[in-house]
Amino acid sequence: MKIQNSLKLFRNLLFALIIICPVIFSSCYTDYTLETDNYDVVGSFYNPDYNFNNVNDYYLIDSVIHRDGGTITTDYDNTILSTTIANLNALGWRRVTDSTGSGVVVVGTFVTSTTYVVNTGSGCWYDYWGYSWCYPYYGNTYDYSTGTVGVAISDLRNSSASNLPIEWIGVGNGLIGQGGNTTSRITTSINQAFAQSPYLKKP
Amino acid sequence: MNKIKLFALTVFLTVFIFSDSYSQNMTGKGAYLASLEYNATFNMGQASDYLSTPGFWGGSMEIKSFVQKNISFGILIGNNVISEEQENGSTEVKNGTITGPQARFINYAPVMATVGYFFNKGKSKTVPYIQANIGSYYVQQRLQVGANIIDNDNWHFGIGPQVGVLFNVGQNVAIVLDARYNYAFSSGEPIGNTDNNSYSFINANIGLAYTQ
Repeated sequence: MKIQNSLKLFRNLLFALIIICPVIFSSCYTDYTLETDNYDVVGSFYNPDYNFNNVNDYYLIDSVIHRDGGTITTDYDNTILSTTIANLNALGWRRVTDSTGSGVVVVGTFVTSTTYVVNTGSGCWYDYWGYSWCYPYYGNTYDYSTGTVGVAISDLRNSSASNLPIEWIGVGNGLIGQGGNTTSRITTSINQAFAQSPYLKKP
Repeated sequence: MNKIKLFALTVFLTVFIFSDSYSQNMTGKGAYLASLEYNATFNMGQASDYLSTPGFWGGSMEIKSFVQKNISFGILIGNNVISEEQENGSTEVKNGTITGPQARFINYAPVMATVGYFFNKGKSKTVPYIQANIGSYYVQQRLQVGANIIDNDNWHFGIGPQVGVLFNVGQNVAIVLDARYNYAFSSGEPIGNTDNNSYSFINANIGLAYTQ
């Protein structure tokens, strides 16, 4: 009798384990509902094989590249260029007008935008026994656009006919048209990209 | 604070006053023990560097079968959730840095085989035990920076020594307290600027066990 009870208990527990398994492996992420201004993100990335100590001068492409085909306003182009110049000069770089000289890198700036569509629509999944578990449509479909401001450093000596490798890139990404002073957000992002790249500083 | 004291007092009274049976058969040959536990999670080492906040959302379930007196084999599964928000965080990634308001997440889902030894002399209502766990962890790591999300989900081989104690409260029911060290060996590519994607953390657990 005891063995039968034990086996019954074991079967029930095994059944419970199988039921729980989908819960165990499901993702569980708190939604921190980051505010609009909180969406401003700055990333900087470098080529680990490139020695920034070998270059001291920069040639700046004096127009901002609009990678979205021209739908983004050019109102902030001067802010992007002047902030980039200020940061490079502060780090000890020297601006030159000839991109082909020795120890010269080419600096380009760009803007682009991306639209995201989020749809938490209804759907169903099926459990081990073939029951379908359906969740309703919560009406949470929404879209948002982010803009990216970027500064890139390239070295023409490493370029090929079809390829201009980027040795360093700093990007600021944030929501477009919602909250905050745009000029200030752009300036802050570019400043931060350089600030978190100490290897760019000249002795 | 008063609620915590009241809870502690209730547990104490339950265990030491209303207990009415010994644990002779609780860990005897042929017995089964199933437990459901609440887990608190504390990251260590590299995992703590990424996310140092303790996690208080977690649970685990164990089934143990006593093949010999005081020796059990079993299964352990669980899920532990940790997250934190940093208003102005900075994360080192491969060849770069990402700065901004960010949220960091780690979910641990252990699936382990267990072998345990119970120090049960038959006349005590309190039964300490030690246990070795071996198996795998499904680790879901996420870095959310603004609207950008980087996921790092991998299965890891892992081990987890555990010590605990059962308080027999009668009617085949026991309160279980235990602590478990977990180590998930490196697997997959890490988010951070390192080649090692291993995780280590400690669980402090309390729960109820049912024996048959």
